[in-house]
Amino acid sequence: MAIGGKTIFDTDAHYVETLYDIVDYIDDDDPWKLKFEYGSTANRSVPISFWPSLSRPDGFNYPSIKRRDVDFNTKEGVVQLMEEMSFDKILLLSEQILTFAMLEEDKRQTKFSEAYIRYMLDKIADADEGMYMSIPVPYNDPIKAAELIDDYASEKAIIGACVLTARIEPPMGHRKYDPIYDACQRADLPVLFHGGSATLDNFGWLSGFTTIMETHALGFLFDNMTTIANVVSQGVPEKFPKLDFVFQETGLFWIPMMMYRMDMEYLRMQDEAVLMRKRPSEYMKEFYYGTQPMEIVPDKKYLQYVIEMIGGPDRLMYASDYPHEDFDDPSAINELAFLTEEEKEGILGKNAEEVFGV
Amino acid sequence: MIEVCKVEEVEHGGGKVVKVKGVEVGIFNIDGEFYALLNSCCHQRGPVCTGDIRKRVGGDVPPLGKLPEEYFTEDYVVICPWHGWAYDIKTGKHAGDPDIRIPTYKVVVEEQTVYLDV
Repeated sequence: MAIGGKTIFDTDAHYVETLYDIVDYIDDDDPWKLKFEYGSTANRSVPISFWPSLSRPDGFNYPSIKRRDVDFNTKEGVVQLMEEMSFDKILLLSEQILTFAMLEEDKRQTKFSEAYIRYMLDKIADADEGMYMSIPVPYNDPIKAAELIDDYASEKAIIGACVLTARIEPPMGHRKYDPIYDACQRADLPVLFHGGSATLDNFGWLSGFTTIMETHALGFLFDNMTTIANVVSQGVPEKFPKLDFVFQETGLFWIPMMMYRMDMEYLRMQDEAVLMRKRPSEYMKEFYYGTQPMEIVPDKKYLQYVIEMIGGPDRLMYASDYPHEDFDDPSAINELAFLTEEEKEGILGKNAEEVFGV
Repeated sequence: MIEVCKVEEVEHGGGKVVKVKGVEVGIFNIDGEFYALLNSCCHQRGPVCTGDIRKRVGGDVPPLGKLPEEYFTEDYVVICPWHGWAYDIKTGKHAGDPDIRIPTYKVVVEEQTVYLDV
């Protein structure tokens, strides 16, 4: 496939699994199977969608749209998408992980995660075909999350551990999550921090908005700004120095703002963050960032400056976010005139191949 | 060498700002050793040497699931009263970023008198 000889690795596509798909992968003798079974009298508390009031019967959430008639909840659909988009490799994220933001601390996350992993490994993920997946991290139960990572990280198709950063309390720098990072570091599995507070209902951070335009613009930022501030300040990169961190679905312009704002605070108050050994911006320049959704700027030089500020093109990984409406085509990178061909090659594929080891 | 003060004018763990050829310089006494820094913060030129002096706080990576224990190191910092930027008194380096540094001066003490070697 590839485009102009460049390998294309989409590092963030949402595989649209449904609970109907995964329920078969909960053991028959597990009472939780009934709770996940739609129509069962025990099915009282497992949400079917992150946007309950706006969800569509085909499993896609508003404002998602289908493109090119690709049915994205079958393996054939993934193959079709990859062919049509010239993707050589794809990293699939669970769509239902978006529900994690509205789940209180109980077993729903862990039960979902394990069933999803089993389903994806059985039916969809296929390293030989370049179809990879991440573990949806059930952060409400860090011990169980670490066990899942221990159990499944050796699967060839599993190349990351994804934390949906919507409304996580406490945020992801908290010591309670140490077992998750420890397991990822032992397994050499990069951690993906994926924003997700995009909905109008259950926005999570603040109520009172009346348009998704507002919550969709703000939610991902709140999620990943909170995460990056807390992870850096609590010294997570110092505690787990071999771990790679990838921030996804938040665009790029927030990164320099957080770098310099955090630097300003750090230079006044670094005695509060005793594990930090350098400026926040220095840590942030060691993280990786998904490119989607690319901000619309009146002059591409602004984007060029942002990429320069955050450590250069080596920090970036192309992401489509298919099938969501704020999807980015590879041309969003390939047509940036200020990038060299080598830099485009890095962003579109090579950087991710290196980080994920595929 | 320029005489700036007497030893007894600056107590251990303390500082004093003097004017040398029109330039304000902070004189500090750490364990009987004297140090001198330009009284001008790298941030916004605040009177850094008039700020609090204390031992720098440190911490090491804790066991999994634990918070780090904070402790006082043996390094003394002076903290700019304007915005809280802290500098190591011996080196002039910012406590959070050693690339930020205020100029230091060589100090000589002879017969209970402190001199700047400028």
